Amino acid sequence: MEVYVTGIGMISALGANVPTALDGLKLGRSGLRPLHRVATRLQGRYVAGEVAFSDNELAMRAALPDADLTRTTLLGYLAASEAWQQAGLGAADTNRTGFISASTVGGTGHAEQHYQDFLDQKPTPAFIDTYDNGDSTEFISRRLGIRDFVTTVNTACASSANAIVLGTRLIQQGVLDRVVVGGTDALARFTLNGFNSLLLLDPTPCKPFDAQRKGINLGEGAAYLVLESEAVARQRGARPWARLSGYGLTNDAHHQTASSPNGYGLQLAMRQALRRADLAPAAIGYLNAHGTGTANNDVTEGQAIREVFADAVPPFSSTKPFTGHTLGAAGAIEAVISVLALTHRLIWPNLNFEEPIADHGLVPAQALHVAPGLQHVLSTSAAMGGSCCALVFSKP
Amino acid sequence: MHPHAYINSIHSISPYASDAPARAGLLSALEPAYAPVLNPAELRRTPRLVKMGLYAATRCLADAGLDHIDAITVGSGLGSFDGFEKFETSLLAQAEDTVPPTPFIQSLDNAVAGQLALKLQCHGYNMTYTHRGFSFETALLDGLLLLTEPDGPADVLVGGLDETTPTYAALLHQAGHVKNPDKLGKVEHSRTPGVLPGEGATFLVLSSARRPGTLATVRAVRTLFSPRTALEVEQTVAALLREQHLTPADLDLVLLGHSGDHAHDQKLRAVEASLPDTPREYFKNYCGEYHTATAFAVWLAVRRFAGAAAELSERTPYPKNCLIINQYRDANYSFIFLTQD
Repeated sequence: MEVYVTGIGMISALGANVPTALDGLKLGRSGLRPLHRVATRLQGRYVAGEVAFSDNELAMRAALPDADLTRTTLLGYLAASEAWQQAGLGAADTNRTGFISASTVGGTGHAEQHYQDFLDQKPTPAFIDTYDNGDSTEFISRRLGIRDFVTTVNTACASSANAIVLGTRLIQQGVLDRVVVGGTDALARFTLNGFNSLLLLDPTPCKPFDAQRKGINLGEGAAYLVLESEAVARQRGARPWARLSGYGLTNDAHHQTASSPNGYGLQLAMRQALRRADLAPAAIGYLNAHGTGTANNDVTEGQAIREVFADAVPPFSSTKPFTGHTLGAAGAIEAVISVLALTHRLIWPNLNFEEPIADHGLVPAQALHVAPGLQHVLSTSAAMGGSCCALVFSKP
Repeated sequence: MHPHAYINSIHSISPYASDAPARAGLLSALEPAYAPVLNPAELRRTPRLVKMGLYAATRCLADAGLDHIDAITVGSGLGSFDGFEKFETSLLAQAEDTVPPTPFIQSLDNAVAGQLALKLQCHGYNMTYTHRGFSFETALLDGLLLLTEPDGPADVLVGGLDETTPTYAALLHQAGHVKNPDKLGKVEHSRTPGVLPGEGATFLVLSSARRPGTLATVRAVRTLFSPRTALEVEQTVAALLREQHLTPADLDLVLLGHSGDHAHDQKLRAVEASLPDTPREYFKNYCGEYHTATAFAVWLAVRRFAGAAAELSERTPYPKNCLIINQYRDANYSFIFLTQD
């Protein structure tokens, strides 16, 4: 059974919705700014991909000013609503519909505002009730009226790509007719300090695949895709943006926080995705790489790309210099960016690149390219804990 | 589509002890001696939840006679809360200066599935679900799906585990979720709010092929999100039984997930009233309330199939089928149907 993408929604440092993000991508306009919104002593030291709205502004945009929601929930709700509306969906119908969301941060950003008071045994709000990853998923499901299948994935930085895989499989196996898949993560002092403690943050705008890269810029945001079975999409005359033609989901099984030297898990994921899509590597017209900008990721990912594509590496880029690394939302944000590439037949530039990494010598796309024959786009994700994921989007 | 699969081994670390009296306070898992099963690095470096997971999973694979596995699916409602509290406390104490990274790495919810992949050198499918009372259910359902896929594995390691740290228990208490110690008793008799928090780690090997040591067959896994009425829950049970060509009278055992919170248990009370003649047990009396308590319930069902329930029912000392019906916070309802045949 074919699986179609019939709606997309996204909020990120590139803007409040898909059309603004598309403008930013076309203009090569990065969403990275000096970190200023998260209450942390790391302000002034790093740049980040913060969403340009306060929690109150997000709540107003969502028309939920009194709901007392976490930032993760607000971001997720805005992006999921955009995808839902954009797919032309309204009140619940009889098709079996699911919501599979990913988050790694959940309500941590809310919990950390009160944690010192809790340690000091002062009264605090019941932040434990919104701390977990399922909190945002349940709120969004209820608002969209989705009740047939609801769950949450957390496989660190591959989370929302993996949510897309589960959704695809549930449609392919006939368990669901339609599923909204993606992820949401707000920036938090906790995660900023976590990556800082691992010495993985670049104080300046990140330079994925560059020999002089220094690390990650963290970001925040949410993105969702509406997936529908071919039958349901046709029956209701939905406009298909893309066909989800292949996926690969593996584990690198090398180290808790580092990728294997040749990116073995990622190689396997890409090969699985190509095999399921029944495509030769040469059919891929654009690769949206994970490309975090860390020393380890970009060298090992490059080696994996070399192993799979040999000397015929397709045009590729990391779009993290636009959005920052949005952790649990990254896979879905990059899936939406990949669908936009396919739809508009454009290849997004890898901003800030200057000099290739000697080990693999890969040179990403550095300017916006028009790719008239673009038929298949590959998007990859890799994560701490070894999770690797590859998705193929094809012209419908 | 009604896929089914075989449970070829199962291991649980839980608070359950068949001869223990009902306990007050937090129900803590009875931890095994880890040393014979975990290596020295794992013993030294891994947090408690990961140790419980690695131990249960390793025992499980050994019992199934497997030295490798092709896919791992894990459910954990909260993941490593211990990592969160340690890293958060440390960054507050250090005012965000020179914070040691280890608890941050350990705070990742996919730490258990990731470390299992590393330990078992499993490059295959690896998933972690963190959705309240659907965490284990999704992992189990995913396992069933994988086994039926054309290029799917033959065996999947499926787990459900959660830890109630003292801090988490304190936060639950502060938020009003913990039962007043004066009111503790059997969950089915509760008329008061609050639950007794529990914990546990359960892993099972789910296989597409029956083996001589097969313990049970998983016939159905269903979830129901946020039903408005008890009738919706009853209808889900009725539909599940109909699909299995069974009537309520055919059920040998029902394991009910009453939490002890009177309001949250209301719909389950109505559902059990609709199954008046079926022998039943209330599994949270043994394991307490936590997100992945149904993983323990599956272990309990397998144990009951083996006849370890002479005290249970004179009518069916050796049940041949079992329906687990659970609720978590009156939002996550789940149904797992198992048989022994």
